[in-house]
Amino acid sequence: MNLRNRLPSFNQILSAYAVIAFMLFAWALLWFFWNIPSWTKFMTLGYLVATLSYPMAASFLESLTILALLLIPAMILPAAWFRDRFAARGAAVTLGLLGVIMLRDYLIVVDNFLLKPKPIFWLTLSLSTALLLFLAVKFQWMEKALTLLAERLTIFLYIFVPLSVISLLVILVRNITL
Amino acid sequence: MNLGRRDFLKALTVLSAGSLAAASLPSLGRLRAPSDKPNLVILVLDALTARNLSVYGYARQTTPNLDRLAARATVYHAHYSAGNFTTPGTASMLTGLLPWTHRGINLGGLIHEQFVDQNIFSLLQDEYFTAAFTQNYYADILLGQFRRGIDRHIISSSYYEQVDRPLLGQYFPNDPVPTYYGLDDFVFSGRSVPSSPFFAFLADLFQETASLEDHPQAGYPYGLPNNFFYSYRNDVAFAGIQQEILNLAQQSPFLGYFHMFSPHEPYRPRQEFVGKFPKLDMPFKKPTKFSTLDISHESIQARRMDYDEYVADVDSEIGKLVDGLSAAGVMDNTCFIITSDHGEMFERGEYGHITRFLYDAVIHIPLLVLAPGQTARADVTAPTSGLDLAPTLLHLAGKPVPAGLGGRILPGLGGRADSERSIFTVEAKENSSFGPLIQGTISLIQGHSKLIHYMGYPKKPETFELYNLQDDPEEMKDLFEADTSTASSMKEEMLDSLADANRPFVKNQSK
Ligand SMILES: [Zn+2]
Repeated sequence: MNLRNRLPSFNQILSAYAVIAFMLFAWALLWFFWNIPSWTKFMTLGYLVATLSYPMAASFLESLTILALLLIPAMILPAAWFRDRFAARGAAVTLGLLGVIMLRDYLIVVDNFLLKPKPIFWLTLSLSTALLLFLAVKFQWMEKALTLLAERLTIFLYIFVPLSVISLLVILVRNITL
Repeated sequence: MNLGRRDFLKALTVLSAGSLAAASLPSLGRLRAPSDKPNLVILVLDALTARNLSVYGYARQTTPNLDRLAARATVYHAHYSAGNFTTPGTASMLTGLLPWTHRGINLGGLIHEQFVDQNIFSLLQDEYFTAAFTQNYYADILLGQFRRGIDRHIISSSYYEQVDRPLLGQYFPNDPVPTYYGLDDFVFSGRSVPSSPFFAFLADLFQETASLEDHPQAGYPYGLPNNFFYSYRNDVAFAGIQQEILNLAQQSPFLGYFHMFSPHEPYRPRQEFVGKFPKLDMPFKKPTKFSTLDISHESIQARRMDYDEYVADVDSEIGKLVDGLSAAGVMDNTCFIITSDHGEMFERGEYGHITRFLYDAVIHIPLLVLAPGQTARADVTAPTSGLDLAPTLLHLAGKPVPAGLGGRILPGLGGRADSERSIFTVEAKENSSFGPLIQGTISLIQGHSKLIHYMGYPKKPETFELYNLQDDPEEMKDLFEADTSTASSMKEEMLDSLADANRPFVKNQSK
């Protein structure tokens, strides 16, 4: 079996990855900046940069993990179901899954526990993801919109990928025994 | 002074030799020959206020073991922490500097780089094997800053029962500060929003933490003790540090710093301590001028009960630990110090220690020192400060106290009692550590007088309060307007000292 043939095209993978990376990096950066007022009270710039490099590296690994998890069904399922529409359907799954997890986490911080009970959380998670997938399958405009969105977001990879590489380097340097 | 020091060291040697000959030869057989320098162990119980301990006269019998150990210890009756929460209290103990100097003033903050090598570990490392452990992550950040001076830094998550989230900082021992903030308290954060939502989601799937944290465990009716990162049992943690100390005793002299999280909130005593105490009549309806909370008297009294039960639990572990070390012969050549990083309050509409207040409950801490071979009790009533620990340890180790170290050698351990000295405590968590202190609370104790200054709080007036701790230990009657001579001289000293502390940062700002 030729693994390469079973993978979606590079552009499709890149587009889906852009959605994943955008959501994760934007989220991590948002909460990093949310913490800045308290951290800058006692952290020097050097510590602040080092502190940012760890969550950035984590977001990078996290984005690759999610991409890898999406590629599995793309390779297993019939090509027409997922592989050939990887950008749109990958984006739909990512938006559904990550969106609901993020919404729950955000609500908890503002003392709203609507999505905290496990049954409600899982129901919302699966229904939202299923709905987005269904819309992407059923309506061409939705598929187009998702594909377009994913393609537009690839521009942010010019920020996130170098940021990840720099973060990994910072971590490496700081942890080499001196 | 010099003569006193030599005399004391000689006495230590004689005493330890004496006890060697007496009882514990068999158990000492596996230890190295005692050096002429005593081992130094500091046991810190987080948020242990002197006000709730029977060894300091509290109405509930919360500390039968400390009461018992006091019979062969020096007991300090007016010992004060330099801050009202972990970071400043701990940093001051370890550096001998006031918070407005070392600048560890913020919640989980850092001390300034120029002081990181001025700490008890670095100052003793040339002659002592240094070891440190804390279950309190804010204190562990400081140990991370001091890591060059620490030969053995025992990771904070030792002795846990179950972690609340993956703890990754331990895998980056060379970079403890950023990994605490960037990983342990951020990526999977249980306190705010996890920065890695999917990883946190996966961690949740594989870790059913709620079962341990929220539900009563066998023997723990309120659930297991928890430090916001993991759940633990005090008996396991104390047995763990006992083993550590026994191991350290193989390479004496050693300095061991053990900073336990209990009895810090959440107060979770074992079953046998629950319902142990009668109701206490605490009629004090105290003034609440600067309170940020307004918790009812009844619910504060309920929290006080939980805390007292938890203190009794911790006290029993201290008793077991010291007994175990005594039986192994370690105490014969060890100066064993029991203290806290700050107190805990149950009054004026607040409980805990994250507060603007510097009333005695939140800064009056225990200090008991069991010197090697000490058989009789000594009491020190002159005010002393957490800052004094650093110079005292140096003195006990026979080393000179460097200029620039604050604090004084403790009376009873080579220092002279001075009941008129000035003892400062600083609460400044809202300020930038890189700027002058403009908002906060400062207290100054001189003899029985205590001046408290609230400054720069939004929508609150600049206020001074003066109390006489001897006549009014509950700090109910403000004498600032009445006792004008004491008030004005103490006020002047406080404002001068604050201005001195602010001077380098005011310059920074105007540049
Ligand atoms: Zn503390």
